[in-house]
Amino acid sequence: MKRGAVILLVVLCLGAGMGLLSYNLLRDRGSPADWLRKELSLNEEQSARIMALSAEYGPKCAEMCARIMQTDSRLAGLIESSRTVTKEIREALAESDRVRTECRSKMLEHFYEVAAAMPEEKRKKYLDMVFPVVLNPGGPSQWVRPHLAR
Amino acid sequence: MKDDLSKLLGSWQAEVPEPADFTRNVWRRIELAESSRRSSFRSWYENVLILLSRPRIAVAMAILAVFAGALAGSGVAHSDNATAYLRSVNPYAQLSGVR
Repeated sequence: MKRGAVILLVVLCLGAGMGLLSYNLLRDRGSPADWLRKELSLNEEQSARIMALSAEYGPKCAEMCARIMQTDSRLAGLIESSRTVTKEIREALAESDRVRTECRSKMLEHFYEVAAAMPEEKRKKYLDMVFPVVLNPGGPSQWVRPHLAR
Repeated sequence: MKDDLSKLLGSWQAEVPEPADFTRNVWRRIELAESSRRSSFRSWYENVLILLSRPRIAVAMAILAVFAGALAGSGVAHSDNATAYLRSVNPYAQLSGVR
């Protein structure tokens, strides 16, 4: 009985240790674009094109993030200082929606450009992975579902 | 009419004789059910430990644990890598990091 308990403990430790080891070996420490290159086994040329697109998109993405924050904080201020839906609140809501729609549209544009730089057979895999982000950008779909990423 | 009925219901008492050891029997049955559940878990756990004491089973379980651990680790790593990429291209996801 005692021997069995020790073996059970060893087996559980082996499983957990192996899990941690494989996680640390496979967790990519490079840039996300670099991970994409490895994940989709892209060649030098495709990889360089995607890296360039990512470098170009990065500042745009940060700018969009800042604009969303700006419109959200303006809307939050108006909502907090009022007890009725005023004309300003309506306009701020519309502006917030407009900025978000623009962000989604730019994101989708970037995804299509990246996909276009890939060979045909890799495109679908990539688009399957990124489409949920466009469909529900603020939702849990940003946490990728493993079956889509494979 | 309604008041009469309420009074009647209020004054009504069930005249079904309760067995003298009714409460004791209920508690005894609850205790029995709990102890049998506890003993069945214990015997199941003991059986697992006895099985694991056999060298072949122990080796098989160790190999299985290694494979399961590797699979789980690689799955989580893959998912984390993909999530990191998606966060890097999603302005909405970056908001949570800025706020």
